[in-house]
Amino acid sequence: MSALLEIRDLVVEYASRGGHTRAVDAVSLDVMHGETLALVGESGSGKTSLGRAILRLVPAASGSVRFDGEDVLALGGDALRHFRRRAQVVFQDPKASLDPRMCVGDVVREGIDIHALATRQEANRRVQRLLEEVGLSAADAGRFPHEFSGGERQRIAIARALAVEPEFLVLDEAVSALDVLVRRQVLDLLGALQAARGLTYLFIAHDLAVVERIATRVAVMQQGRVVECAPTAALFATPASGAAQALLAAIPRIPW
Amino acid sequence: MTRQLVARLLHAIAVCAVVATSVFVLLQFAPGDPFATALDGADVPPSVRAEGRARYGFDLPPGERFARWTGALVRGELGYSASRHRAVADVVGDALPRTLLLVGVALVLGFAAGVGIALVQTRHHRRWQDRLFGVLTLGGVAMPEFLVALLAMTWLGARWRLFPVAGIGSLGDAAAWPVWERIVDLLWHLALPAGALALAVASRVARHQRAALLGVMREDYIRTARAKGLGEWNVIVRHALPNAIGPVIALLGLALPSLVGGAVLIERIFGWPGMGLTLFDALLARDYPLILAAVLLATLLAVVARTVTEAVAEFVVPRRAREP
Repeated sequence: MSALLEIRDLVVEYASRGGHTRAVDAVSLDVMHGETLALVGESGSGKTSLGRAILRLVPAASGSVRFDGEDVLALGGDALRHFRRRAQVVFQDPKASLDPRMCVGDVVREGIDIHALATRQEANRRVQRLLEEVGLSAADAGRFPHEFSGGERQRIAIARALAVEPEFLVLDEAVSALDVLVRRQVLDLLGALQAARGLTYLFIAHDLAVVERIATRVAVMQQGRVVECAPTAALFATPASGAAQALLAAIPRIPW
Repeated sequence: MTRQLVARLLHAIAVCAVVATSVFVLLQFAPGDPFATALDGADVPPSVRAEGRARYGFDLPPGERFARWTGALVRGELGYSASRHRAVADVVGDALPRTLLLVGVALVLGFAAGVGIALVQTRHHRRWQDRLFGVLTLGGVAMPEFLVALLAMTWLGARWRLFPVAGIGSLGDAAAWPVWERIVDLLWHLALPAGALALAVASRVARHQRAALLGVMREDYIRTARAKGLGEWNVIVRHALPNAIGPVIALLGLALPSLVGGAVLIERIFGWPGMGLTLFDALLARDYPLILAAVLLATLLAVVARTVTEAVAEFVVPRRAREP
């Protein structure tokens, strides 16, 4: 199995009072074709910054990111736009990540139009198919985001990300804001979509319990560094790092 | 909807009634009357003065005069302007369209320019374009309109002779000119007064619009739009602007009365024969019916403008109306 994404010594810094804060500190990771790599860690451990730097949504200070062999950090203009079609993102808060002034159909469609992926009628049909694929109805295209529940909005955000037929999806705390039942439904949807479309996921979460079912491997971050990276079963059985042990201990268990 | 409309109408009537009453009362305290200059000379016999005043009802007590004036107003009569020797309705009918043209052009130009400046500032946030316009718009907000007007008049008008410094049209038999020539001539005369007013509007709009845009630019859906692959200009124009323009439109409605106030000065400086200049002259001449009509009209304009901008802001931001 080959790596779709190769991250080497990636550093992300933010300007702060009297210097720089290092949010991501020399991280190296591979994400394999078709796998789900979970990225877990406490708040402020740098996992969201890492996900955004990979997608060029925040600038990287140094290091390299290769996507399918291409140097992502050097992309510009048309090449960057082309990369944005192949690598998409779903954010944590679906209330905030959908433009409140745009109806759902336009939200989903815009990506198709930007990348000129389909003619008008074809794009409309594709939007309807996508909405049905994520468990909404084609008639929802004319409604606005605030008319939907949190879980439905996250489905819209997923449909929007899938509209441009990406190969790679960063799920940035994509289910953290949802209640447990809806979370289970959305996780099932993500699993089904991955199987149907051969997607590769970078699944960012602060909670190990969420990733147990969905992740192939788990990378644990602490203070900007990856302190452990192991197959899911191995990490749950024998956590090596203190950070992983602490996260495991934090999973609520019902005592029998 | 109908109930809302009726409520707004009643509110507008109430505001106009209060304004009319207070202006009428204030005028009673102002020294002089419409005949002070003409009739109060030492060589005019008291009987002549009394007769002159009696002809226009100025010998009556203020309460009765107010009752008569409001009675006429309800019948749709605005009275007779002693200083212009014409019916007040005719004076206003000539002046009002000119002011609406001046303020309307200034508003549209200023709003468009202000939003445009804010878009450029947001696109180049913290770079030199942002800073340059920041300084310029701060100057535009801080500088009084009359100073802008006088500077424009001095340089663009008197020194470089690009635009006329006063009036609404060139001398000559305008009626004989072709229509487009009359329009060009009107716009040429409009340039400086409308430009001076528009500058003030643009500066205010730009500062508020920039702040609103930068607030919206931090939203997650802006990041979503970038992740879709939209260029930065498209992100700003298609996703940030629609979410940031509502409050600025509402603000414009609130600022309109002060714009009308600014128009009084501008009209006076450039000799633009609109409502502002009419009001100014009427005040000097103590032409009570004309003053009252002008103030009442300005009030009405402000109330209508506020209602319209509220409706527009609601239309632009539909979720405000729909979200429970």
